[in-house]
Parts: sequence; C-alpha cells; structure tokens
Amino acid sequence: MRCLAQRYLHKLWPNILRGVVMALLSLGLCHAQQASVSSVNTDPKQVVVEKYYQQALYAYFQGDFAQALLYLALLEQTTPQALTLVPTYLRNEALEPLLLKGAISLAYGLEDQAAAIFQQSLQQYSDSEKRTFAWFLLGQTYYQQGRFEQAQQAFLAITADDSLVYLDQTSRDTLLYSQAQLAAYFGTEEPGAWLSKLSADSIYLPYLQYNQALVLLQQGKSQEAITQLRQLAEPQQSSFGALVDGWLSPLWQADEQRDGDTTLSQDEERRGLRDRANLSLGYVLLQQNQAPEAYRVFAKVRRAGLDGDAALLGYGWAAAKNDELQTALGIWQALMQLPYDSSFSLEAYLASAYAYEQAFAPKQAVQVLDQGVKRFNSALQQIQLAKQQVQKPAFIVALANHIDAQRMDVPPTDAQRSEVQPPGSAKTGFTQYAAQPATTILSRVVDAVVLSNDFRQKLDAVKQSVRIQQQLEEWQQRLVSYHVMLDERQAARQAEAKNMLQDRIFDRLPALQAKRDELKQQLEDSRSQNSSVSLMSPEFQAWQQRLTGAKLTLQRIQSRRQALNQAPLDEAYQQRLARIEGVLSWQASEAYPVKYWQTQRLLNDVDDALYEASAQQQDLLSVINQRPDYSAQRNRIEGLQQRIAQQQTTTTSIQNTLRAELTKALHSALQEQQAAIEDYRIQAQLAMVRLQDQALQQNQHSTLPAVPSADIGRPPMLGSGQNEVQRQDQR
Amino acid sequence: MTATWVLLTVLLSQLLLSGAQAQQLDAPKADEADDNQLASQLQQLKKEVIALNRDLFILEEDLLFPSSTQVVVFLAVDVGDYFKLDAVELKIDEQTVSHYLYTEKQQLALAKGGVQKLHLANLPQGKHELTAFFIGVGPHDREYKRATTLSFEKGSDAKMLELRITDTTATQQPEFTVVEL
Repeated sequence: MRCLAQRYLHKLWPNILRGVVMALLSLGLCHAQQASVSSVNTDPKQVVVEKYYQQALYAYFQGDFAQALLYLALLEQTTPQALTLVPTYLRNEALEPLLLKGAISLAYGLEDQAAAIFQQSLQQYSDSEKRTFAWFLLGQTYYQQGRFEQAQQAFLAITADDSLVYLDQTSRDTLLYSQAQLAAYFGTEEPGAWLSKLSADSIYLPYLQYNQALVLLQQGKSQEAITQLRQLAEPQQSSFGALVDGWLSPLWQADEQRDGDTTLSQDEERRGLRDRANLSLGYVLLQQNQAPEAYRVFAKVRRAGLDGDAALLGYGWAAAKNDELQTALGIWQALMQLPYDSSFSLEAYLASAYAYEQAFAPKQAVQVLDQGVKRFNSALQQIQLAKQQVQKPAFIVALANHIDAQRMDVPPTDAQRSEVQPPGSAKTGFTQYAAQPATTILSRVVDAVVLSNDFRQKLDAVKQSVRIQQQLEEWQQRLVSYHVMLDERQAARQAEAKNMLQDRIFDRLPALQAKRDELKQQLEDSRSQNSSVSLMSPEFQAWQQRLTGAKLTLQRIQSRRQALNQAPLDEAYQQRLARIEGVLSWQASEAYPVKYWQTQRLLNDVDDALYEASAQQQDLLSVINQRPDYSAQRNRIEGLQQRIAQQQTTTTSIQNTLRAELTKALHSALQEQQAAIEDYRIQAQLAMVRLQDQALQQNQHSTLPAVPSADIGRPPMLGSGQNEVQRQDQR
Repeated sequence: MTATWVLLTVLLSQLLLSGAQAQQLDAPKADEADDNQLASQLQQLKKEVIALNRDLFILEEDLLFPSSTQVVVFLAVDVGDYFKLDAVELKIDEQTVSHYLYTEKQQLALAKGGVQKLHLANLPQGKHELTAFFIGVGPHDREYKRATTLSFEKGSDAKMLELRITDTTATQQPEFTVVEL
C-alpha cells in the first residue's frame, strides 16, 4: 500500500528546512538592505568584501546555494576573517554572516560544515536571540544527519519563551514538529501531546493528527481513533496556501522550478491526507462491523487520488459485507481491468473469485482465477524484464535524472520510447499522476521504494554527483581552452618580437646617437668660435648663403672686368654687401646667448630621451630574449586540471557505490514483489484445484464434505505460517 | 467469510504499518557506518568542488580580465517601493554591452540586499563613458524609462562601478545613479 504521508514528508522536509533558513534570513536581512545602497566605502578591500557578500546574498535569495557558497569562499579567500568585516548595514542583530554561511551550508547539504559553524556561533555569541537561531539550526542539522539524540539536546536548549520571542510561526511549528518526531522516536511522549502546541495553520498538524490516530489504533482504542480520523477526514479551510504565497514563496517557487513541476498545489497535499484518513477510517469501520458506514467513508476517497485503488478494494469488501455481492463484483471487475499490475488490481482477482463462490457460481470463480493466473504470469514476466533493466549501469543515473519530486517515473524503455504518446500525456505533476498512474511494475516498485528515506537520499546523491560530474567535465574543457589561449598568446608575442627584429628597430638608436654626437660637436664649435650662425634659424641660414653667393659673384665680376681692362665696379656694391654682412653678423651676435641656451637645453632633452630609449630597448631585448611560456599561468591551469581529475575519480567512485546500493534495493523490492505475485498465483491455482474437485465431487453426487474456502480472496501477506499449513494440507 | 476478515485485518495492518513509517524516524541500520562514510565523502566532494570553482574563478579573472583592463559594473536596488525593475540596458562608449531582463526572484534578491554583477569586461586605459537605461514600472504603475550617465577614467587598477536604484521619499520617485566604488 502506498504510503502517502511518507511521500509528502519526503517532499516536504528539504523544503521545510530551506524554508526555515529562508525565513530566518528574510527576517534578518529585510532591515539590512534599507541602507545598503546609500553606504559609500572608499577602502577598496572593504568594497570587495561588501560586493562578494552581496553577490552571495543575490545568489542565495534565488536559491542558488552553490553559487552563494562560491562567493563566500571567494570572500574568505580574498580577505582572511572576512565575515567579521561585513559592514553593519548588511548584518542583522540575530543573523550574523557566520550564521548565514552555516544556514546556506545546511541547505546545500554540507551538514558537517554547518554543524561546525553553528557550534562556533554558540561559542562566539552570548546574545540569546543569536543563540536561539544557532541552537535551532544546529538541531535541524543534527536531525537531518540522523543524530537524533544531539538534535533533541539542541532543541531542548531553546526555551519556550525564546522560541516565542525570536522564532517566527513557521520556524516554531517546525521546531515543535521535530520535537514531536523525536519524542515519538525515543518513546517519551505521544504525538498527540504536541497537537495543541502547533498553530492551526500548520501543515504538520494533520500529519500529527493522523499519526496520533494510528497510535490509538495500535493501542486498541478504536473509538478514539475513529473520532480522530473523522476529524481529519472533514474538509478544512486551509490557509497554508496564503502562507506559502508570503515569505516562503521564493523558496517554494525555486523548488518547483528546480524540480520541473509548476503544478504542485499545497491544497492537494491536504486532500491527499484526507483521502488517507478516510481510507484508514473505512477499514477500521469494516473491522468494527460497521460496513454501511465504511461504505460511505470509502466513497469519499477520490478515485483519482493516490489511495483510489485501495479505497475501491475496500469499497468492494464493504459491499460484500452488506451482501451486495453484485456491487462488490462490479467494483473488483473494474480493478481487474486496470491496465497496470498493482496489489489491488491483482488482489481483485482473488476477491472476485471469493464473491463468485459466495454467490454459488464456482465456474465463474474458476474462470476468474484462470484469468488471474495468466495475469500473474504476465506480471512475473514483467518483473523479470524489470530486473534486467535495473541491472543496466545507466538505469540508476537515468532514474535520478528523470525522477521528480512528486512523480517517480521510471525512464522509458526503448520499446516504450517508440510508442506514440498522445498529446498532453507527459506525467509531470501530482494531479497528472493521479490521472495517469504508473503503468509498469517497475514504475510502481520505484514509486514504493523511493518512499524510503535512505533510497531517496541516495538517489538525490546520485543526481548531485551527476551534476558535479558534468560540471567537472565542463571545467576540464575550459581549462584545455585556456591552454590553447596561452599558446596563442605565446605565438602572438613571438611574432611581435620577430617583427621588431625584422624592422631593425634596435639599429635605429645607434644612428640617432651618432647624429646627436655630431650636433653636440657643432654646438661645441659654435661656442669656441663664439658664433651662433650655425644655431640660427633656417631662414637666417638662407640669407647667409645668399650673401656668400653675392660676394662670390661680385668677386668674379671684378676679376673679369680686370681681365678685360675695364673699369672696376662702383664701390657701392661692395659697401652694400658689407652692410648686409654686418647686419647679419650683428643679428647672430645678438641671438647667440639665447640660441645657445635653447640648443643646449634641447640637446639635454634629447640626451634624456636617448637614455630612456636605450633603457627601454634593453628591457625589450631582454623580454624578447626570454621565452614567453606563461609558465606561472600554465602551472595554475595544470594544478586545477589535476585537482579536477582527482574529483572526477572520487565522483565516479561515489556514484558507483550509490548505484550499486540503489540497484540492490530495487532488485530486492522486485524480488519481494515477485514472491508476492508467485504467492497469488499459488493461491489461485490451489483454489482452482479445490473448486474443480468440488465440482467433480458434486457431479459424482459424492457425500464427501466440501473443502473449506478459506484461501480464496486472501492475499499472500496473510499470516504466512497459516497459509503454508493449509497449502501443505491441500497438497 | 473468514477470508474476508483475514484480508481486512491484513489491509488494516498494512495501513497502520505505512502510517507508522510516516510518523517514525528511521531506526538505525546495520550498514549505517557505510552510509555515514558515503555521506561524508559526498560532503567532502561538494566542498572540494566549491574550492575548485573558487580557484577557477580567480584564474579566469586573472587570465581573461586582468586588473589593468578590468571594468566591472554592479547593480544594486535600495527598497524598490517606487520602482519595479524590468530591464537594464548598459552602454559603454556608446556601444550596448548588456541588456538584462529581470525575473521576480531576481528583483526580490536585489531588494533583499543582493547585488548583481551586471557586466564584466576589458577596457583600455583612458576616458570612457557609461550610460545605463532602466526600464520598469514606476509610481502609480506607470511605465518608466530613465537613463543615467557617468564619465570615468580607467587607470591601471581594476575599475568597479555600481548602478544604484534608490527610493526618494521626499519626491516619492525612484532615483538612478552610477557611482565609482
């Protein structure tokens, strides 16, 4: 029988834990951000601390715990004791950054780290508010780790007053529920004792009510149990939806998105619990000989719910008890026609045979049993196939990837994949589950096995390890690309150096140096001659050249005229040239000190520039001469590659271990299912033999008494010892 | 009728058993030590992966965004009562470098004190201009689009800038600024 309550609790618990953490953070940080933006910090180190911390918050509030922890790790890597440097405007009185880190670690599944942080917080803080949060989170951590005694001690450290003052309603309910669970585990108190302490809106309340009813039944207090179950079975107005829409909503939305399910309704959870309560109540009433009442109670269970088939079977028994065999047969026939092999659809064959026998129709009883045997054989074949499928190495990984929080679908086989699926047949949500239940035995076995805490945790671990493996592979590829990038950079640098050498850039400096020396010599000459003609402007130089040319021309003309016995030229020409020469000489003489100083200064600047260029050239040459191998970066990359490879090995090893254990658990469950169906088959075959014997005896008008019909309609789980004895007798 | 009652008893006991599973914590198992060891290994693996991710993050920053050219732009929201951010468009030197749309979860994370690293890039040293366009819903549910600009000088150190959306109570309007950190 499907354990609905457990199914919901498994889904609920991680969310509750994250919800609690989120709630605490919401309380703490809603005040903090008021002044966040207005704060200005000029210390670069402090700015880095703030930004990493705020990025951690940004990731955390989106439910990305790994990313949040990454930023906290970066923060602590950048600055030792960085969490103590988080500014006041980003802190809350109760929720210190250390507690935040612990809470995120807890939500990410690093329970050991979280426990260490909370213990450290308890040593560090004396403030009762912080201590209450720390104790509460530490208790939750131990609870999650299965360290129940330590969890109980941690919870006991929180006084009722402190929980009222410092914890919000949901956190308080979580605390009470955890305490109730622990009290039941240690046998110190019954769950009922905690009922009055929980808030009326708490989702834990119906669970505790149901559990209390079960405890009463086990104690033989049937009437009290019936009263309790009746209360629970009544439809109640739920305000949990409103609660979820409040401060918990981001977390729930995150989970739904993470799980790929956006249709989960919290009201559905309450309806499921009511179904379970009605189902239990129906069977208790049947046991109490109140078949008509049971009949009505079974009718309240939704056909499309998880307990629909179980209720239908019980409904049939209630009808049979009321001597409405035709109705009972109709109901069981409906179960028999279900397309999947569940305990209920298979048991319906035995129950129908029982009804036919009661209705004095042994032939029909034999026919039904014959059909049942064929179906049992078919189911056994399916189990054999399922066993082979489970043994395949990829099955568990595929299951972990495929499974979602509400619907435990088995990955389709090759044959199923080839089938054409009708539109909208995807099974993604709880409601769709109800309409389209698992159709294969393997799916149903997985549905049942996955309810175990241990199995589910290991399946989650496989899922996480697969994600980690994918991440590690992606990082390896990135690191390879960085190697390539460094190779390219190296090649580019070498090419650049080659170009420099080819352009003979380094030959130009000595030439420039020689030219500078020449200029310096000119300056020296100018100084020794006390003439600045060589330092004057190009225009002056041009004038000087024209004057020299004119003097030469005049001299040539004088010589020619003398050779031709002509009269010499007028003195005025000579005088004009002398005057111009005097003017130029005067100008040069006047400009000499300034020009000399300017030239000397320029020469000094050139000297400096040449010196600097020379030094840079030396550096450049030394860089070019060095081999650009980026060895430091390459070493870092290689170090990371080695660490990734190690973690890949570890991940594979963990995954293999988990896979082996999960395969073993599934195989064992299939084995049990096989044994149960084989038992059904044996019962049916024995009943057929007995009915045929009976018919034969009647035909022969024998006076021998009929074989008692006690084994028809009895499922294999009925006291096996008694079964065995009967079987032996009949053999 | 005996069979009926035996069946009912079994169904009920199954029901009780399943309910009991729901209410009780798992009892200690024989192979608990192995499971604990496996859980520890998994936790250790997760821690190692976070450390690896951290070192890879630092290496990537060093290789791809050296501090001499690194420019990072954050986005922060203060309160956010007067403005619901839908998108931010970021331009540097008149080139659009980022256009980001925000989900409700991201808006909430920003409002709760988180900051987003909106843009990380390499820029040469010298003068640059950053322009940010904020698109969303302002007071009275009106569509809102505002821009803000900052001229900044990129030096040899990494440059950190922050876009800020703050509520101005006096005017009951949002305010958009860019600051150098």
